[in-house]
Amino acid sequence: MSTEIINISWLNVTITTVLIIATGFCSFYLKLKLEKDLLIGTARTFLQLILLGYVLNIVFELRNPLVVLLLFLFMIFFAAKIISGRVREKRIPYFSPVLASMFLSYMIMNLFVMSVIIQVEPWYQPVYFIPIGGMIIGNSMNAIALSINNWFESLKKEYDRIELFLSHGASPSESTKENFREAIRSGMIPSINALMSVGVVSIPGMMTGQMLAGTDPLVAIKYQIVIMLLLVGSTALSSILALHIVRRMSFTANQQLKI
Amino acid sequence: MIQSQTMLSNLLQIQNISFSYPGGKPVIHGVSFDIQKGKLVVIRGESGAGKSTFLKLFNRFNELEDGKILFHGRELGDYEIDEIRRSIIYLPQLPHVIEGTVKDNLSFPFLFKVHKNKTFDKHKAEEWLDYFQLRVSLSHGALKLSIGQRQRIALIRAILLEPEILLLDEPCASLDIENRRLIERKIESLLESAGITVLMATHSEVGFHESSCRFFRLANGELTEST
Repeated sequence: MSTEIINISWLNVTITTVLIIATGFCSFYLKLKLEKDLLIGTARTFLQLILLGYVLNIVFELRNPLVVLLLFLFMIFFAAKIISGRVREKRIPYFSPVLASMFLSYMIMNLFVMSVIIQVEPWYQPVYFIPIGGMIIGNSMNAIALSINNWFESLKKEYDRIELFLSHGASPSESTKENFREAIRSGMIPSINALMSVGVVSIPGMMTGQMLAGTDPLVAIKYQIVIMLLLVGSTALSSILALHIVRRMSFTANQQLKI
Repeated sequence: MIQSQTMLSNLLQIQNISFSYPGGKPVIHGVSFDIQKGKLVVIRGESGAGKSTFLKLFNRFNELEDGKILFHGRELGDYEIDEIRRSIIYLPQLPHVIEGTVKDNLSFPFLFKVHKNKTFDKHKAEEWLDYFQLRVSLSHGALKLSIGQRQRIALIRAILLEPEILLLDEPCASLDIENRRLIERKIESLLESAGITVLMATHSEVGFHESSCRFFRLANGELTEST
């Protein structure tokens, strides 16, 4: 199956904003106070995606591994920024170590899929590397933020119990075994739930995109299966690595809680 | 357990120690005194005077800012943290019990790597339950215990690990007078029966005999000996 993709004219793209205008009227009428956010959100969508389109165009043209890696690092940097914005605990400077653990785990996962599963030549082929990398980052970013938040919440909740364990000789990892497991689990659950509902409740974005571009659904589902499993693997690896670092940073050299 | 290299009568020598939290004024300032083995030292002071902070200097939850604490004649900072936590146990104010039985609560520290050479002795545990007049079996649910009973469980848990020093943070704070006197009596005779040295912080009056203990008052960062 191969159909020519229909290009949407910019005029028609702009016409879609009538939906936003209508939503704005609803918001005004019902006093939802969403008008400002709607306006900013729509403007940002246009701006960010137009910019992304141009950047990707250049990166796809250049096919330079350094440029691909730089863009990848840039995306991870912003994901790490978003994570530190979402995590409520601000006393522990985990930004750089979390960024490093994200880069390491995403590189491992992305290289595995590029070289072993899809067998792209060369491995940094930007048309594959960047979109798949982007999906990994977007998905596990939420998982890491959830895990770290859950970790700090449970440390605060169980401060007395943990201090009791430490004062009786437990190491930081012995005193927070269950907190660590629970934090990882909380980050992993959404990815695992997605495995259960995919294809039944929704047709995933990547598959939709591929089919709109004329790909045979039977090819698109193979990509989708690879992506789904990749997302679970990368979420697990990155959140376990990141939380290991965060756990170390949550204690002083004398094995006392910092928060 | 850390062995004494010399026959020092002073188990702990506190030399001009100071401590303050980052950006705050000194909680402890220029404190010096010695503590003999088997003694009971009571630190009195108002809430917020820094008694817990002071106690936590001995198990190195808090790190000294200035001065020295010598333990068996050697600087506390020179010991590995594991050695310190094996020999000096801090008991927080809240008598925390974990979900499970009395036995689970008394035996969990034996699962920690630092205590791998020790084993939980059921008979010894029962003897201590008896000593502290706790008429509950090891299979009793810990969450069903009263505050007074939990406090005694917390003490037994620490004693079973055979520490040299016990740091007790307000051990009687939430107890009625009857339970308070019972715990005090038991702590007092513990000094002889188990050879444990006790440092205890309290904001209330205590009923210890003067012969067995020394009293200090902590206020404005200064520690003064009182009777």
